[in-house]
Amino acid sequence: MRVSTMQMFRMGSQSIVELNSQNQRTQEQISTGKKLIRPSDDPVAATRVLQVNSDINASKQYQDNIGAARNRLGIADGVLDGITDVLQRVRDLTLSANNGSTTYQDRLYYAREIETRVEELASLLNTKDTSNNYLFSGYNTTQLPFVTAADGGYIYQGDQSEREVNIAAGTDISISVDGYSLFASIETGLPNVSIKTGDGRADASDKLRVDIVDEEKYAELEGDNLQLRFNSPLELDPAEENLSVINARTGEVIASNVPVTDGSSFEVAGMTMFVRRTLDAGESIMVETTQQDNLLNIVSSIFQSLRLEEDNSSEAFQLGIERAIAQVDAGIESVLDARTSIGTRLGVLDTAESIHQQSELANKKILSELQDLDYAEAVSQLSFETFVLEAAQSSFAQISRLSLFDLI
Amino acid sequence: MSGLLSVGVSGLKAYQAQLQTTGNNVANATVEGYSRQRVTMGTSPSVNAGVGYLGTGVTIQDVERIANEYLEAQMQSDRSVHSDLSMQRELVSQLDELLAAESTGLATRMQAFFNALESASQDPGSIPVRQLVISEAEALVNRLQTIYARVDDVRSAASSEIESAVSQVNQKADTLAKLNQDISVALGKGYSPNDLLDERDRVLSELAELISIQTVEQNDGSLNVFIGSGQSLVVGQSVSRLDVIRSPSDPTRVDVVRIGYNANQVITDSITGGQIGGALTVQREVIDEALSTLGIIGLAIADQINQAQKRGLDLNGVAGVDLFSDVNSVADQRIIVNTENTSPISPEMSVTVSDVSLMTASNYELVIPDPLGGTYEITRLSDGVVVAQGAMPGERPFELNFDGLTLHVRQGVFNSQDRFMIDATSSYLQSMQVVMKHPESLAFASPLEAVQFDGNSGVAEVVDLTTLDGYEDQTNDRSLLVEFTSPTRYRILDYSDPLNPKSLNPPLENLLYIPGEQTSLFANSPTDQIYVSDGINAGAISLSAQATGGDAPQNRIINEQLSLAYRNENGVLQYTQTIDVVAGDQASTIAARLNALEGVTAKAVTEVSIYLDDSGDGIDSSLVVNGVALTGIVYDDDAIEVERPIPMTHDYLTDLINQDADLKAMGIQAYAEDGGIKIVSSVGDDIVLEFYGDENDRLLVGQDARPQLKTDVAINVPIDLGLEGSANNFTFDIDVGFGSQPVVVAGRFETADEAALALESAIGNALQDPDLVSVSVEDGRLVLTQTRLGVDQSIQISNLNNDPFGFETAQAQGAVSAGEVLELTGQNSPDNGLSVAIAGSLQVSTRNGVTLSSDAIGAGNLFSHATEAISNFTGFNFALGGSPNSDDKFIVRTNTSVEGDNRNLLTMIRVKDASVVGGAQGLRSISDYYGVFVEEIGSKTNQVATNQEAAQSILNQSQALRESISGVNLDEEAANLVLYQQAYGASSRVISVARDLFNQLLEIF
Repeated sequence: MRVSTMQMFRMGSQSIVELNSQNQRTQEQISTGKKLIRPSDDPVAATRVLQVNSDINASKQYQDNIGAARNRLGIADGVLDGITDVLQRVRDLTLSANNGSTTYQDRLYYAREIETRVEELASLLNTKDTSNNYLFSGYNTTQLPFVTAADGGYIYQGDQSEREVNIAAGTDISISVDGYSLFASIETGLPNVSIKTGDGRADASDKLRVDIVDEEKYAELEGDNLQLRFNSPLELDPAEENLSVINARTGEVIASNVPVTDGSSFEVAGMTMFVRRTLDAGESIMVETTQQDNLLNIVSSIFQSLRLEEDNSSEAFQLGIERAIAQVDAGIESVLDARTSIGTRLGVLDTAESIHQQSELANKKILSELQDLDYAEAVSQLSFETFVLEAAQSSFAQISRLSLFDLI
Repeated sequence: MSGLLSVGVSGLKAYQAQLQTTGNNVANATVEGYSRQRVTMGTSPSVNAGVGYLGTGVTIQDVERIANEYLEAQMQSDRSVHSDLSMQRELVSQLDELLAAESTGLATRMQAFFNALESASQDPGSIPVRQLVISEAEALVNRLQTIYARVDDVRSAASSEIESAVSQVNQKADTLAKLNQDISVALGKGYSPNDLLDERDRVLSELAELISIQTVEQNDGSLNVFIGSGQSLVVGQSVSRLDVIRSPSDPTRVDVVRIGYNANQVITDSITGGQIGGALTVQREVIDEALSTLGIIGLAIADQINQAQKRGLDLNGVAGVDLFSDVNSVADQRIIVNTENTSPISPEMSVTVSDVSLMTASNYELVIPDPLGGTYEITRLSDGVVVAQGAMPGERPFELNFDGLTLHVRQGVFNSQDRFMIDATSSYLQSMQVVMKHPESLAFASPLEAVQFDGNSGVAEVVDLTTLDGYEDQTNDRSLLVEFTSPTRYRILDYSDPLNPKSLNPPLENLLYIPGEQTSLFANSPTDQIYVSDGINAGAISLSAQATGGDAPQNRIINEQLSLAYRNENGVLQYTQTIDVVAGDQASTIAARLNALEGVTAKAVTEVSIYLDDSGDGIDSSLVVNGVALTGIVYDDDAIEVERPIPMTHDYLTDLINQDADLKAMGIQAYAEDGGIKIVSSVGDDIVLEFYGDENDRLLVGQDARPQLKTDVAINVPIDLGLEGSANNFTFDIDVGFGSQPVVVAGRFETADEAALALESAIGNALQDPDLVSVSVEDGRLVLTQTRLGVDQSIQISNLNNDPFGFETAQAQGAVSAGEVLELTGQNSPDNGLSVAIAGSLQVSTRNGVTLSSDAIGAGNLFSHATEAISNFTGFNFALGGSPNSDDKFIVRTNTSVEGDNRNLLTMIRVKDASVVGGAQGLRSISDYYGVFVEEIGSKTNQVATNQEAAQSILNQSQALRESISGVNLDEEAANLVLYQQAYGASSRVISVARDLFNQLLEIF
């Protein structure tokens, strides 16, 4: 075929330009260390890189969450350990107090120590974590879980929940222990009431005190809540502050229009209710009846009964001590259960963490295979391309020197 | 001799021309588009010299241009394709580069946002971590908008390329017209205007780089040029001009128009090839979709997170507000009115996003095709599919739904041929911003908490309280009480007033709970429905007891056909499925058959209450439940044997049933209840009871329903019945199976509740059993319920004095409803007894609007003819696990402990992996959707680059071919120069010989 001079030059220069651009690409790969520079280099691999990167990122975040979970559970475990020690000490003291050879004076000493232990227990139960949140108050993290109520007893102010964090896609793990089931709802086998505001959410023991006087009558009510609703004074003639007592479950009116004043009392369903402070008409107080109590009240009741009875051989005293020990045992058991559960969760965290570490490693390997450059290959590619370029340049130079004009 | 001289001169002249042409070729060797020229020479005509013909030399015939017109045309079209693809490559690779780098891509920012949420979940109450979430949200929006702006820049760049190319096309067209004129004039004179032809080919090939052209040569040598689908650009010496205008349908786009005498013709869609075609292709195929895709990503993130926000509570305990600006804040901007519409006032319209997951990355066009404006048509622009069409509704306002969007027409009239662009996706992204200012406003806490009552005696607990899509639309009070009326049945009450739990509307009563299974208490979707079997044979007992030893007793289930109707989203019936219930079928079997159908979940349970009256002497009574004889002994908690009591007690019997491994395997359990035992098969198998004993032993087998007496008028309070002993006292005799007992009710009652209480205690005193009859108030009427199973079938009241409550009428009307009770008496034999079978009942839950009906007549079989569907969608759901006891209660109420609550945050985090975008192409997570977008841009770049390289080599080939014919080879020309120089020399020699000859001749003289 005929070749025009211009075509000859054009072809020569074109191939050199192409080789140059190839060379430059390889050079770019070598300088960035990646074989994938733009998505168009390998669109499928580029999408995989996005996915794998996001997986690696998620693994890292999960490991961060796992670390945080481990810290929190670790703190809780330490505190629970302390609580077990205290309860064990209280149990020992109670047993000693029950010993026939102890004197009333000895028991008073024991009582004093137990009283101090109650305070220690209270401060343990009100421990905060490193983020300044209470450990045992559920979601109510800024709320002191155990506070002293107006009647001197302790009440639980947290809720019934455990906070969870995400430790793997779709897997949440609880990073707290539920103070309610652990410490605030220990079955005592004894009737107990808690006095709440009308919506059942806050303590209202500053407004009412309830003494159980007839356990049998009270037992009929067991589990139901009583609503004390203050009525308009005009419902009585002459007008007088009064309230009605209603079973909140059945809606049954147990007593209606009972006249009350600050400090007055009345009896209903086996209970004596002392009205500390009357409320406005329409407002109400909720009396919850249970057979549960919190740990602090249980332990408090021990030192109180030690002080009360001078004779430790009486049947009532013996029964009281037996019950107290059973309750403390229940407390210790529930703390041990919680620690077992924490141990299990720590195990789960370890497994999850190692899975994440492995998958992160595997993903990094995949990522490297997808996008990282094989330097040996690239460098030899570059030297080959350079060689070809040089060959093209020198052959072009030689050919372009040929001209008939030089010879005529 | 003069002949010889003239021969020589002709040679000289010819070779002079040859040398000049060769020189010209050498000189033009590097001129683009130059075609080499050749002088064609011919032998001059010979003259007859009498002895033969003598040659007269050479003549120049023509200066010929060596060119192949076919090759020229081929090269022009190759050039069009090449410059088309080059333009595409140039534009698309800008997007490729943009998405490539981690620092400019979206993926890193999305990860950072979700990581901030994850970190916040560790300490949801902390303000700094909340602040970080807001900052990351801002960074995410910023990045999205940056990418959008960069893509938009590429679109603008393409538009300016089009504008400059169109103005060049106009210039080239002018030049061509001028050349056409010159060429036809030159050809008219008989000569080939080589340079003009070269020039014209050069201009044509430059024009082909701008736009794809077709050419037709005319007889006079002029060339007509056509573009697009045959629109003329140059005809002879006349030129049509092109122009670029803003598109009337979309001001962000440009249209190419051909200026006509009367009207301009839009030729945008028919232009192919060249730079203009390439730029238009990229705008149409890549940029529009890229912008839409980015828009959808913005919509999806904002929509999902905002929805989650609304389903939570913030740090101040109030319902969450939007984190990102509302996706429908730009509803009005989504409509772009075509500037060519004839309506003087455009109708008021807006477009809202109803479901991002159904959206497609495209814009839409609303057209009124009908000459009278009576119909509409909405076309999806990405693929030209008509997504909605029909008659234009007459009323205003009205709505049209398509592809996850809703078009609202508030008012106004449409004219025929009106057009409206619907910019569904990108208008939001341009105005998207983080509207939340205070970190406290992030709603990480769940709005609800589920609490179990302190007094619950069962072992059930709340699991997985979650809010659902649509929670924010639910307006009902979210304070609910779940109360178990038996271990297998529960009801849900409104608990907003704890003093007075109220029935819901519709009531949610008598719902089935299978103990031990985790059961969701509410529906997950508003279209879910529940059907509770309410037919007379649901849970019915055999009509009579039969002797043991023969065939097994049969339950009361009879033939019945159940139909399930499946409808599409518009409520149109698609198909039905039927289930034929055959007499004697067990509820468990029917449930299994229902469960095999799509969209249906059936639960079956069998319950029966028994009351054992064991005389304690004679033949020991014994009970066989589903073939298992309860003859063993029970063990207490410490595995110590407990002696079998005589007479047998209900408690012992309950333990016998619950401690039997075979019965446990069958799913049969017993619960102690007031005055008896409830036996439950949690799988819904028939319960078959066999009873043995002497004539003094009896077993009452019955339904949960107890005899009731209901007054039919509301109590008129206050009622004063006077002090005890007064004539005003209400006195009557009551008989519940132990003979008549006189009752006296006295006192003053302010409320119906008080009266009921007094009545109950008076009856309790009279019967010497406070629990036997309970008195309650329903709708202001009194209801007496006999609480003990099977003691008697009714409550009889007689001998009334002063009936203030209306019992006389109640009784006169026979308002007694008794439960079905069958009495089995011992047959005085340890081997021969009586047996009965009890059928189960069903609760069928349907999804997606599937409805259930029965062919039952009247009160029917399993289902009555009027079984109503109940919907219990509340916008949230939770499950209970474990075994609750009768009277166990759970409440769901507004959450108040928000500081440490991260439940709603956990649902926000799930947005990361949830499949929420993609529409008809399949749902994907947001990051996968972005990944697919990157892949598409990468593939497109890759494909365009490959095609461009191929076009380049095709162009190179056709260029080489053209050059091989028309190009100048300098060596060839050098050889020619030598050849022509020598021929020239030789011709000179001829002249010199002629001169010598002449001189010699002269010397003779």
